[in-house]
Amino acid sequence: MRVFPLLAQKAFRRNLQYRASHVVTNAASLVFGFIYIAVWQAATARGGTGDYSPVQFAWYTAFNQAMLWITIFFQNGLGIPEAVYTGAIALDMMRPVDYHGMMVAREFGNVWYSFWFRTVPLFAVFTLAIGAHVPQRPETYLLLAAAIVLAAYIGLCLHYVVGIAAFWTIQSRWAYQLLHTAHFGLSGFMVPVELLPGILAPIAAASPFAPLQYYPARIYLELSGAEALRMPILWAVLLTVICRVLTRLARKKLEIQGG
Amino acid sequence: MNTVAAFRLYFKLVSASLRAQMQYKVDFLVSLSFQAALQAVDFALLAAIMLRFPEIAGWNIYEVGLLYGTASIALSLYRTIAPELHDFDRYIVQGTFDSLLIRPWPTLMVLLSRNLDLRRLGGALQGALIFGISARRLAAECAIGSMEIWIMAALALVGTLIPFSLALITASCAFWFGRSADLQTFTMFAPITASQYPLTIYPGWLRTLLLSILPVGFINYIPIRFLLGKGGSWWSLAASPVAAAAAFLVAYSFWSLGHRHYHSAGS
Repeated sequence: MRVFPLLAQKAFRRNLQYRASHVVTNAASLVFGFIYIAVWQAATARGGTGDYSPVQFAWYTAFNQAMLWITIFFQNGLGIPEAVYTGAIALDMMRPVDYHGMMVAREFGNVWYSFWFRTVPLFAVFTLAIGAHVPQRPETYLLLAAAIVLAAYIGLCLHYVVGIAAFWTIQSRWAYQLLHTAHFGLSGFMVPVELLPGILAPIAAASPFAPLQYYPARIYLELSGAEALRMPILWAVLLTVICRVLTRLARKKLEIQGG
Repeated sequence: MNTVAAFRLYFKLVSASLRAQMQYKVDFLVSLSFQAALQAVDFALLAAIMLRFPEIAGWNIYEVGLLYGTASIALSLYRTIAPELHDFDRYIVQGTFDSLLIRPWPTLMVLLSRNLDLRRLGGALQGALIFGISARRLAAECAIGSMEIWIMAALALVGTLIPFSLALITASCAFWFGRSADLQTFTMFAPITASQYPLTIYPGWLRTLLLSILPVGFINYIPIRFLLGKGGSWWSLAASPVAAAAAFLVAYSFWSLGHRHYHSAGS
C-alpha cells in the first residue's frame, strides 16, 4: 500500500506551488485571531472564569485560530460534489484503491502542508504577540500530537460525509454552511464548551466538533489529560464507520444509476 | 439624463434577475432563514461570553448588540446588492469581463445588475433583530431615545457604502493581479468583524487602521459611541456619511483606474 503515502506527498507538493498566495489568507487569519484575542482580553479584564485565567483565554483562542487550517478549512466536501456533478467520480471510484482511504491520504498531504505553512507560522506570530503556554509535562506533547491527528482526521471525515451527500442531493451548499455553523457554535473554537449556556454545553462536548478544537486546546493548556482523548477516539471510529457505509451506498448508487 | 437612464435600466435588469430567482421559492426561503440562523449562532457565542462577563471595555451586551446589529445590516446589504463584486475575479480569470465591456453602459452598473442575492437579506434581518432588541432594552433604561435609534439605523444603511467600497477596491485589484477573492477576507470581512465590538479593545495600530484605510469604524462605532454618551461630539454623526461618501469616491476612482488598465485574457 505505497499509494497512500504517495498521494499525500503529491498533495503536499501541489500546495507548495501556492505558498505565496497562502500568505494573504494567513494574514487574514492573523487579523481574525487578533480580533478574537482582543475580545477575550477586554472581557476578562477583571479576571477569568472557570478553569481559565485571562491569559489562558488568549492562548486558548490563539491555539484554536492556528488549528482551524488543519481541522475545518478544507476544500468544501473535499471536492467530491464537483466530481459528482462532472461525472469524474465514476473514474475515481473505478480506481483499484479504496475511495475513502484515497481521499483521506490525499487530504493528509494537505493537512501536513497546512500544519507547516499555516498553523505553525500563525502560532509563532501569536506567540510573539501574547506569549504561549509551554507544556511542562512531557506526556502532553504525545497527547497533543494524537489530539491533532485525530482532529484533522475527524474534520476531514466530516467534510467527506458532507461531500458524499452530493450523491443524493444537489443542495450541498447548505450542508457546508451547516457544517461551518455547527463547527463555529459547538467546537469550542472561541468559547470553551463548558462555558456555553445551559444544555448547549453537554451537547457541544459530546458533538464531533469539540474534538476539532476544544479537546486539543485543553490538552495543550494542560487543563485535561489523556481523558480528553476519549471523545475524539470515539468519533474517529464512529465517523470511519459512517464514511465507509456511505461510500458503499454511493458506490452502489453509482453502479446502478451511473452517477 | 444618462444617469437616470442607467438607473432605470439597472432596475429593469435587476427585477428580471429577481423574477428568475423567485421561480425557486422554497430554495429562497430556506436560504433566507439559513443565513439568519447562521449569523444568530455567531451572535449567540458573543452572548455566551457576555453572560459570563458583564461588559467589554465598558460596553454592556445591549450596547455591543447595537454595534453588532448595525455591522451585520451593513455587511448583509452589501452582500445583497453586490454578489457579483464579491467574486469578481472570476470575470478576469475566465475572460468574461469582455462581455460586460461591449454594453453601452457603465461597466459597474452592468456588473451589479446581473444579480441580486436576496437570500443575504436573512443576515440583515437577523442584524435588525439584534439591533431592535438591544435598542428597545436601552430605550427602556432611558439610555437612548427613539431619535438616537433612528439615527443609528439610518447610518447603518448609509454605512453599507463602506463594505461596498472596500469590496470595490479589492475587486479592482483583480485588474492587475488577476485574483482578489482571498484579499477580500483581509480588506472587508476581518474589518467588519472587528467593527462588531467597541474599537477600544484593539491595539492602537489596528484601531487607527479601522478608522482610516479600512474605515469600518464609521459605520457604527463612531456615531454609536457618541449617541450612547461615551465620547465624541456632534461631528461624530457627520463623520459617518462623509466617510462613506469619501470611501465610495476613492473606490470608484480606483475601479475606473483599474478599468482603464484592463487587458483581456484573450480567451
